Amino acid sequence: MAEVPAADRSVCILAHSHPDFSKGGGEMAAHRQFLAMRAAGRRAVFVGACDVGTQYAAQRPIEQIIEHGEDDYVFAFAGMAEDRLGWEDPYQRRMMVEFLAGLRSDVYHFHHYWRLGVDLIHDLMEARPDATFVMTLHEMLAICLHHGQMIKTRSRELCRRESPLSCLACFPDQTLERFAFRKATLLTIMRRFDHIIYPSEFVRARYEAWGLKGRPSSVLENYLGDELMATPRMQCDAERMAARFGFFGQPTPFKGLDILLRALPLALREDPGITVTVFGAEREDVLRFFPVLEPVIEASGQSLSFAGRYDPLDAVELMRSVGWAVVPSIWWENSPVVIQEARRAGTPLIVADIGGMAEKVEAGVDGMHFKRGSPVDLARAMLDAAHPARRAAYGATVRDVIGLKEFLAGLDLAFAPRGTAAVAQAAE
Amino acid sequence: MFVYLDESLQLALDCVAMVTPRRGIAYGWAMTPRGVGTELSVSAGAEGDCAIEHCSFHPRPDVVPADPRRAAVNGFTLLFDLPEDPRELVLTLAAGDALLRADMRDPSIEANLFKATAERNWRVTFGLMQESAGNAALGSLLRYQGRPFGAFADWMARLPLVRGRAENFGQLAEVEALTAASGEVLVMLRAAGAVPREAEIGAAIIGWLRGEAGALAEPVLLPLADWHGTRMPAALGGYGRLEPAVLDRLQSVEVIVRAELRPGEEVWLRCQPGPATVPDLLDAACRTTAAALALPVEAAASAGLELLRQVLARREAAFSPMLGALAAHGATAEPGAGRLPRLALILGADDPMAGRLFHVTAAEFERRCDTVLVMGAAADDVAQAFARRGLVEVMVGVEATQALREAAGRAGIIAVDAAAFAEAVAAGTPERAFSRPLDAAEVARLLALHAVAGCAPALTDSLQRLLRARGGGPAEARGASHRDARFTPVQRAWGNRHAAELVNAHLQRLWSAGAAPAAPHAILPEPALHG
Repeated sequence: MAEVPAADRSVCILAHSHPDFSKGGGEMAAHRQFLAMRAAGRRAVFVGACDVGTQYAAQRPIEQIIEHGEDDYVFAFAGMAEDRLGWEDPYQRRMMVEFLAGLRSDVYHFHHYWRLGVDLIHDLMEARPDATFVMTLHEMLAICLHHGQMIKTRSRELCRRESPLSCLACFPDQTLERFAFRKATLLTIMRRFDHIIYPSEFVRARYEAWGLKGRPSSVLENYLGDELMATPRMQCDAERMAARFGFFGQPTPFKGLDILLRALPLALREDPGITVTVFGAEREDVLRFFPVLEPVIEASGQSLSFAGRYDPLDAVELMRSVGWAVVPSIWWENSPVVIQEARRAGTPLIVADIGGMAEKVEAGVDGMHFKRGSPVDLARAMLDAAHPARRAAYGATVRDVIGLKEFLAGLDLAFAPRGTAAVAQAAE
Repeated sequence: MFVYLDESLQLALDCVAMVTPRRGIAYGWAMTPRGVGTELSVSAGAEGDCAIEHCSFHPRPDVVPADPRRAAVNGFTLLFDLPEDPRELVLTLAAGDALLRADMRDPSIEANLFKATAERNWRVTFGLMQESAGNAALGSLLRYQGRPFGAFADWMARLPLVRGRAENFGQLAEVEALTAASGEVLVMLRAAGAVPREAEIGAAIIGWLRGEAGALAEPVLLPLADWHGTRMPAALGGYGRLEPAVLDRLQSVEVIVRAELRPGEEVWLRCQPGPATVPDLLDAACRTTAAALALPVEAAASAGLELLRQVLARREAAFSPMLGALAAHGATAEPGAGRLPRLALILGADDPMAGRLFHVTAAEFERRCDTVLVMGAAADDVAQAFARRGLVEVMVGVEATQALREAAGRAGIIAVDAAAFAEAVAAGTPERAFSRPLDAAEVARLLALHAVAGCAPALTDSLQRLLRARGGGPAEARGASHRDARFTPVQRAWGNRHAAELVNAHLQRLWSAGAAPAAPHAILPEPALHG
């Protein structure tokens, strides 16, 4: 039997949500992959978990799997356990497995296990032993019960390695046995995937240290989508933009907006021309998370502004409205889409010197690093960056993100049938 | 009904009832002249005398002869066989040459055995209950008319009920009743003040025994292999041990307690003991009354420790030979020719999260085993993982326990501690969890040790102790050092801090009874797996 080239294999893309209902990085990446593959003439189906359908299912009967567009499906996960890692209702799980197996896809590409269920993955693997199974691990929920952030719950210190006793210190109401069951279950399933895709070397290193070492894997950046990739990169006026800094994202404590707001007055003392714009939140949103920062915000005056929420599709354009994008997260960040968007826009970055941020922003090329959690060091970097010549230099070197051709080639490598060499085909 | 001859020869029947169609019972009393031989008999007329299955006498202080120097009164309980459909039934009291006859079918005689049993002197009823233990004929009283506790039902209903433990219970500051899987029961009556020297305690044990498969458990009065009732400065304690033969079928026990704190001052209790581990039970034996309730009573704690020492000595006398014999048998048992058993026991399935793990790893068991027994609080979740696939037989609960007992001494098992299995799976070596089977003798020893020296409710703890003791088990597999082969002390909040040393030393002696020093155990090779 002739070997089917990887590019011709039909792919079912599964995600923990659908971008029409939630704009998280993982589901955005999964759906952008779906759209890009179809646009490239490939056979792809998207199946995403749906909060709306799940909430509705709690009140009235609803089909478990609903067609949401052409080859685009959403499903209700009301039958899952509270942690959304397994199904409490075996019947609903079986319905899902029968539906997915019935798609007869050659490849099942999971973009998460949360809201999909390790038991469902297991059953689907048994139902389709001939198919290729691929998983993209966007985050570290499997490793860390603290929303996968690998930050200690009490001290907010960075956690560098999972261990049962460390986890117990963060979650004293749990048991060592429960940690063992959870890890063994997740590892068992993940080791069965034919290929694992990591969006960054950082995430790969964490998962390999956790137990996935030796499994076929690759690092493949998420694809930003044809629409954003079609936007031409433009050079900005460095003289005018050098002192304009932007924060993009939610004002949650882990995103480190408070670090930036504390750094701003320090930087303003030496350079009153510096401005910071917060995209993604209003002043009130920020004060809700950081009420103690009200005096700092007041003191910053006209140098600080809040631009409110934005549509992800506008992100690249918004990035161009500032001279530098600042990513001051105090947690690791796996492969932040904000960094990709800034690089796409040609806007250099100032990022905390840890995890996915440090990896994705090459110091001296794509931007600068500062000591994680240090307003003083961030202020130092901002002052350094506010020189027009520095901005112009970085604007010239900041790298673009992965293109469609490279992305599809990376998928073809991962989607190659078990035991065969990848037949990567160039995207048309 | 009352039959009178003279002031020294009288006969009364308080109750006559048919326990079964071929067995009757009579309660009554007889007044007979002193110094004259007396005899009671039951006659069925032309069909001859009825065999007396049981006859017991007791004082009747409520019946006083005209001249106590000339006559004596004895209450009696007669259990007798009956011919089929007798035409008459007569009770005869022979006193020397004199005979008194009473028609046992007289309609004026009370026929309600429940009522008559409840209204008799409770000491008499209690005595009858104690005599019923191990007596097949009297035992039928507990099945009378199909009611739970049979003839004793109404009486039992009148007894004050204590479930596990109760505070401020009548004149007692605290009542506690515990039972362990070893068939031991402990009843502690802790007083708020000093207990006189003449105080005493007695008990009768009713066990709910499982019958044939599918049959409901039924109450049976159980004989005690050992009973030790003791008075302490501020408490009464009763320690009892059931005959081992009944333990396999024992579902639960109730303890009827009679205590006499002061002459004529009786305490009656119907205790439903709470389940306890052996350390819990032993600690309770020497725990004094909760401080908030107790008046200071000199040497109460030391007296408790003395009771503990006595109980420990009795336990070791009872259990050490049996454990030693099991250990010796295990040492001489022949290995299973390199074959692994096909019966797996999953222990410690206490977390529903375990269900997920076994859902995704069921195949590891299916290719190695024919039957999987699952024990633990989340056993059902784990069992469903196998049951849904239908490739192996899976058992939980009583069924699993029974299967394990049947395996003891006959077949080996692969004992898999759920958490240790999880660790092996995470390490990428699930086969490690299957490589240390227990042979048939070890299974028997494990069950025996868990019953008489188990330190935790779950069998998992005992399995781990056994594996550690033989120098290879989950602990060693996890990298624990060889010193783990020593007995691991029981960690608990001791009610009496001095008990810890005594109890741990006692348990250590039981765990090491007859066992060879810890040595690396032979690891059987994995069988060739196909598919």
